[in-house]
Amino acid sequence: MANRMQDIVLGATLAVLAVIWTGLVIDTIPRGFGDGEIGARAFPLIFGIILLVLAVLLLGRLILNSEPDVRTEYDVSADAELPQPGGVKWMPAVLLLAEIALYGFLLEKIGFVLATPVIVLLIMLLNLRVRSIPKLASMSLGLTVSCWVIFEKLLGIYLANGTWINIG
Amino acid sequence: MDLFLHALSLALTPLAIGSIGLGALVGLIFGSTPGLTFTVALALALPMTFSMDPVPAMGLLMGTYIGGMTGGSVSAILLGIPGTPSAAATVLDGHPMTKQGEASIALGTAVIVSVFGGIFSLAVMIVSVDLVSQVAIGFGPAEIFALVLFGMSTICGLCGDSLLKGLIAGVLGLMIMTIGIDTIEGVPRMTFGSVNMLQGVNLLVAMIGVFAVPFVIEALSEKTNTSAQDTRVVRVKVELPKIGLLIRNAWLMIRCSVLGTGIGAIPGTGGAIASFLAYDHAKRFSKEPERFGKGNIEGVIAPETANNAVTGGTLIPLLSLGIPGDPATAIVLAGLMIHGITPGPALFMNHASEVYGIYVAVVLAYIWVLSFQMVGIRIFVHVLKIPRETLAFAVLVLCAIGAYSIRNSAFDIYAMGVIGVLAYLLIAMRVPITPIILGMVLGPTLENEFRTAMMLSSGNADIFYTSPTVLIFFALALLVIGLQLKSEFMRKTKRQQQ
Amino acid sequence: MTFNTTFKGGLIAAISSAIITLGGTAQAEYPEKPVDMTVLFGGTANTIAQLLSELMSDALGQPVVPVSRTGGGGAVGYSHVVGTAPDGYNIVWNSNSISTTHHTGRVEFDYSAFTPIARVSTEIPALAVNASTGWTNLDEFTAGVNAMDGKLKVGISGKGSFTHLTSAALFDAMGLTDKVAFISYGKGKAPVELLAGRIDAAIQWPGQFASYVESGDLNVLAVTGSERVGVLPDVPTAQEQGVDINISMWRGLAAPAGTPDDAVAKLQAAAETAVASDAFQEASKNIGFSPAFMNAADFGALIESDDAFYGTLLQQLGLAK
Repeated sequence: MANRMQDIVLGATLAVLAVIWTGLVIDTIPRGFGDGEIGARAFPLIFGIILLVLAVLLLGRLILNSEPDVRTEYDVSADAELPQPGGVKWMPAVLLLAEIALYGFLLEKIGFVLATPVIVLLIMLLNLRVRSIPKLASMSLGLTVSCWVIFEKLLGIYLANGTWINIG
Repeated sequence: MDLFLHALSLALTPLAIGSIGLGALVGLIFGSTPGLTFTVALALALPMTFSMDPVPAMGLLMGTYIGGMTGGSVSAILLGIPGTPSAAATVLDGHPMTKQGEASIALGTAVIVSVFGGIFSLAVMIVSVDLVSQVAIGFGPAEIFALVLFGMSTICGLCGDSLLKGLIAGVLGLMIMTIGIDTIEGVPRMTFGSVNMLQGVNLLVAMIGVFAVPFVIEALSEKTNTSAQDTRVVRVKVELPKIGLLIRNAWLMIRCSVLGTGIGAIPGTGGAIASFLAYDHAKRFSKEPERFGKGNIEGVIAPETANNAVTGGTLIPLLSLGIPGDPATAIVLAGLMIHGITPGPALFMNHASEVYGIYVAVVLAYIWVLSFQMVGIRIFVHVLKIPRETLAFAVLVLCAIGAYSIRNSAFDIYAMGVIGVLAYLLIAMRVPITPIILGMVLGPTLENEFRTAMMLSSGNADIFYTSPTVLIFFALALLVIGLQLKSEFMRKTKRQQQ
Repeated sequence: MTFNTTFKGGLIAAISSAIITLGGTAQAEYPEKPVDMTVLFGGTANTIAQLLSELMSDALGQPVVPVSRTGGGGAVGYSHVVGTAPDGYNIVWNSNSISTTHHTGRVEFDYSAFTPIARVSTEIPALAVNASTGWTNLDEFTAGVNAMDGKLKVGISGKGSFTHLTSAALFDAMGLTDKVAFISYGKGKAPVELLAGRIDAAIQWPGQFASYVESGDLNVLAVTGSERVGVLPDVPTAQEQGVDINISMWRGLAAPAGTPDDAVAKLQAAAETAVASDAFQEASKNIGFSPAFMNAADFGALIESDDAFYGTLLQQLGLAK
């Protein structure tokens, strides 16, 4: 039954998303110039409408067909590496999103060499609750130094330089 | 014959062989590291070729290209994170094989069929370059649109248990790719006035997000004691595929090679569409289609053969017409140009021995790749022994490096994070994520070719039903959808009878 | 949150002191660290940039690092460079796109946000048609187009792209504006679309057409600059054929406005050395662009007059914001 509830949430969210998308498309993208030209608006608009139709179909099927969907029973849920139905780990997901965003921001401001240990430390402290100092130090420094040596020095990839401060 | 000997003398110098090997190695490293892509490797290799002779220079670039294309399967199989969009289809069966302890067999098979596909397509290209390029010229916007639509129809076969959810995923992929500047009219779409949004969502960045971020979230949320957690048995054995396995699948390999070569030859398509079509084809013609998605070796053979067959195929429009099929081949084109080898119809008149030298270089590149991988597989499988948390950190940092390296923009890291977390939520809702990638790969081509076709016909839709090629692809797309609906229906009635 | 802001405040304080100390030494001797060169486009622009940066590194004594920041027709890269410190360590590999991105409303600032360093190269568009049309010069072309029913299909690489602007200006000068319909298609596909007869004419870079001219499949009727181009020496300019038009795409270097004069002078000298080198001259023939060094002052005047020209042109085409 958890599956069904979840699908209703999914369908409803997607329907709302589709309506917002379609509205924005109509509002912000100009139509074509004519003369056989399919304007820039047509495709995003069609995609938005298709998504709306699919979301409504999903909802409709759930309402009409009250028996649980038998097919979802096989295998997929037995996979330990996938999140379980109803078991979305909201905290880690949101936390990681914030950390990735911060990482991107810090890369531009303080460069790869400083941003990477900061982020790795942050994840270890917040997500994994690691408190052992040697572990924290070895992981953050080890990862940063090995990536820097391999990519910047050996392979010559441009790793971000900071605009506020820059070392390396 | 003289020409051929001259070509051999150009390609079999120690410098040429060495630079091909170096290219293959660098390509393999970039291709097999989650997050890094071989387009970036090619961009880095290009300046190194400036001071070289043409054949070693092209050898370095072709080696990187081929190594990267082959390497893409490694992280797809081991971690479920494809190294290139072309390897996205390989995840479907390759990663389940790893979970069943058969990682090395999957990896070994992937390498061998890749080499087979690559050499096969090279042979086809050498024999029929003129003929094929004539056919390729006939592929206008309407034909390419029809082909891409046919490619989209394979979403049906990737949906897992819910066709509806698969289609939703596909549409989401299509929507993501409309963000940014519309190339045809130059107007911004869904950018909310932000300059950074103008660059749109990069396909590779989105791919990294969709596959890598959910893995990282799961691995990093196991916040209990890190070492005690790893009680699961890690079975790491090195076992290469048996000859019998390959012989049994020879016919499949040949079909997928033909498919890959053909698609590669059409400008503006590429490896991803070929591998998805090949996967779908293998599943549809298999005696046991229900085993696909659960670790069927055929699901590795088909896409890997096809995406490497594309490498030979793309050489046809690249050399005979001067048209690059994707950003990677665009860099190969730049390499040709800077050495004075201008692609186009006059190429074979002016630079025949260099061109044959490039052919020899491709063969050498595959020999290098094969030998590197035979050693590499033994090393790669030990990645599975690394504790999941440590691996997740490495994947996260590598993906950030990779996403950033494409356009040197923090925007791409934000995009990776947002798309990745959304993909995680979708997975939790049992929405298959592979169709998102398919939608993203094909969306821009689908839209642009359709609009160009309509402009060419001054708004008259008959351009889509007067060309026989277009009609054939439409028919194939309908056939795929029809077959899918039929099998859905049969499954349903079967269940009701039980 | 409080923690975060204090942390940030402290960081900014620490960094600004670092910058002050750095700034003190930077004036002593430029350059003392690598120079970051933003590249706005892939393809030819990127290839030339990679070669130029290598040659400039030799002349400057510090590496010049080409960093690709593509997207938005150049808007993304220009915005990045405008936001960096004007210390000579951040430069941009610019082009006419500074005018188009500004006038189409993608970025707020215009060319005056940058200090010109030097023009490095020019690329001159060429007009090609299928050889089976029999047209070999602009007069035959005009006569042929006027005799046609319907419109001439002209391939461009997208609305507002440089090839679009050039085509519009050329056909306007030839009095054919009402007879052409522009078709956008993927980059680099012009020769094939012409060969297959799906489009009737295309304006693209001469390097793309060279091989087809040699094989006799395509005719190149004119180039739009004031001089002929190296890869197609037999093709006359439009001016030679009585059509008054002079459009070429320049590429050069610029830094954020306020960059010290000595840094600009050193970069200009490095660019001059690089352009004069054999490697650069050789590459220009192969890739199909013209080396065209111009000093900072002249380059600044050129940018200014071009900006006015493209502003008006975009206005006429209804693409200006």
